[in-house]
Amino acid sequence: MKKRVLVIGVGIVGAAIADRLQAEDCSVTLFESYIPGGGTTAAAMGHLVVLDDSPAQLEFTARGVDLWRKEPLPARCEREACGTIWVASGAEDVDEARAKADRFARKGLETEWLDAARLREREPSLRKGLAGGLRVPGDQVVYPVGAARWLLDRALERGAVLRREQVLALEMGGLRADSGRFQADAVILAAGLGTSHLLPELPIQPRKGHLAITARVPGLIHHQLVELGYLKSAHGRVASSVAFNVQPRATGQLLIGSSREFAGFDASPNRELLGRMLRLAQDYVPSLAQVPVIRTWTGFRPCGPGNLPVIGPWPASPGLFVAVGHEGLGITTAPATAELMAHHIVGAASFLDPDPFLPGKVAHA
Amino acid sequence: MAERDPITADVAVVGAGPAGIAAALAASSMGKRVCLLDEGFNPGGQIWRHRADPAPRAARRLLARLAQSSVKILPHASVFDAYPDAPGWRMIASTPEGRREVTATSVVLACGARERFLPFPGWTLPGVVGAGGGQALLKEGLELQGESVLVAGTGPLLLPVAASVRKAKGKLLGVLEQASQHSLLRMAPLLLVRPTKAWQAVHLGWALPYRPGWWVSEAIGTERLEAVRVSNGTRHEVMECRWLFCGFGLVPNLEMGRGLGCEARGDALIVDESQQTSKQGIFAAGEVCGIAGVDAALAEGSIAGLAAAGAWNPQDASADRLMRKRAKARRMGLAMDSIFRLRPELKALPRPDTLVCRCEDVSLGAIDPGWNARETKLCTRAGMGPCQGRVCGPILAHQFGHLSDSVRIPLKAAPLNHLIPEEP
Repeated sequence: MKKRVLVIGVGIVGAAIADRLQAEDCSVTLFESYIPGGGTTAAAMGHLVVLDDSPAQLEFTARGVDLWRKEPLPARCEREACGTIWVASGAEDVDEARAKADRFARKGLETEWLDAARLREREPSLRKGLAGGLRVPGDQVVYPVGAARWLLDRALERGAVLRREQVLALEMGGLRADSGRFQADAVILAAGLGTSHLLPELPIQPRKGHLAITARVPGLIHHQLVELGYLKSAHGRVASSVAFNVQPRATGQLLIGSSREFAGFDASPNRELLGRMLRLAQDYVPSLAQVPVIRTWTGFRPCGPGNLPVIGPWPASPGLFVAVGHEGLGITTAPATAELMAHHIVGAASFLDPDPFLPGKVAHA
Repeated sequence: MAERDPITADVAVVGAGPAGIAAALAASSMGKRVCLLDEGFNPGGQIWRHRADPAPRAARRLLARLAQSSVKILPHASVFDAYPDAPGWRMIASTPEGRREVTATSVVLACGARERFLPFPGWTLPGVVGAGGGQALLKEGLELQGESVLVAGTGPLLLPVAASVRKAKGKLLGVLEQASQHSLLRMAPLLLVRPTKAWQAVHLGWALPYRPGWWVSEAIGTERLEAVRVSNGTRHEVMECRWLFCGFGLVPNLEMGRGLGCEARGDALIVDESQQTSKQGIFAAGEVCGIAGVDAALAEGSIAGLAAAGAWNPQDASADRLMRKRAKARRMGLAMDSIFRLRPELKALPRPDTLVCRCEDVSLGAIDPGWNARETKLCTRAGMGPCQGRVCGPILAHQFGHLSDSVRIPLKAAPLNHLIPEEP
């Protein structure tokens, strides 16, 4: 008997879960009231990056990148195997880079330390006087909407069903949507920022970010460049912060980030913060000053109660599962999230320890 | 630098075409400090800027008045951001000298219009140019030296373009007007009440091989344009030609108005009797209120300039004259809209492999007709390129009825460092 599964929310996480479970011989129905991949996914940078803020985060992101690398992504996903360079500006950063290299090495992940001269060879547009950089060749870049829609299309080809309607409420053993009630063996809530409407006990806060994209300047930047101070910005809980983060796109355009702030759901640009973000990019890459910016936008990261997303069975409601709160890691970790969910739903072998992500754990982390 | 930012004005006028010049002069005549921002080096807008031949008398008079006025003109200024800054508004412009800021109590949007392109097989071949763009090339000195040129599309602009082609010694094969003869006949009564326009039309039209009810269905060539296939729905012809000047009317530049939150209906900003938009303190004049030509632009510019200066009184005798002039020009605009309405056959011209977004190389077949504008943009990147949807937006609206997606800063591409505010 096939398990009937309902997935609420078709961002990249919901799409990856549906794709995986349909491949595990479940019968999946997806619900999306807006555009599949049109929420947080559409605003994301698409950097498939290993991060190591905590051991669990390192495991989780490394697994995500590894699973992505094995996928036969078509052209519309715009995969670039450009790798990341973590840029060190001072001595403190160099120590951090070495510690990072050690942590990566223990995971069997390849890194390469570039001293100042070799950093300039690799990325001549970076300003002079930087201390060096840690290259992570395994990191990649994708176009998030393209990747999410490709996962969705593959799930649909495998027999999943997409319903473009609003889920109004969770119910015992199913849900109620615009067109009526749906029963299932499992309901998976992957609604990102839409989670709290359906499950108020699981607060997901919008963490706003800005991105800017330039005209085509092929060859100016070759790797995704991120400052080593990035994690301080990403995981601090200060009101607002910016970090240097520039990505070369397949088109020759540059995608420039990043900013973080808690500002509710106000999508209007924070010009002061956008200006700070761009000034920082220009500090690192002086020739960016004259490069035309053609568009900027804002998006909201779904920020859960802890530093990891919440993935697993929701204790108070048998049959309900959640996969939310990925903050800025959703694109990288969507396939790893799907793998964890396959473990919970059909008992598939899990590469990752599911424990740190369980709802009870994360809420109190 | 005391002269630097921000420039403080009572009234900021964006766009120095006829509407903007009229607005700036009207506000200035009321003693207001006026700043006129324009992308061009010289004021005049698309209509008067390039004139190699002497500009019309009305234009010369206005340009002379502008030169003598106290209006501060900021040339080469591309406004890429505008937002509320109590008690008024702040505009950020990119200029060759760098970022400039202008604050003003009221704003007049006189941003004009751009050409509408419609896709047909081969429309992106070198040698196929917009009618207005082609005319600009001719005025900048493009020499045709006997090369064969077809002018096609729709609207009153085609005739002066054809005249420019002849003047540049091009071999004019004809002017194809997609509107039917029957539709064009409805113009006759309008022309009777507008003798100068009638004279222009007769003067231009009689001297040219003008073919109403015909359109280009395909541009053919390998490296560049070699021939065009033309049709009137029942008959088809192939004409060898080296240039196709093709224009399908104008599209108002609504980006700044929409970015400021002004309400629009279809392709036009909504304004009240004093030309005020739905946002208090923001006025609009000319083509941004719907395509209606230079007469509407001049009347509306004057009204908007007075209103922005707080000096608009509809009871004045001069106000009455302006309102009548505006009403007449708007009626003409609406009539022209209906006469030159795009025929449904044009929608069927592009094939699945015909590009609809040139910046991002998106072909028609890549778009699911069930998608809205945003889903189309996200799935195909149509509209994400350097033209920011200015070309493909109207194409997708025509082809699929898409409504415009949200407006984002920069309203026009600008160097990165111009987006960075001065440090406090």
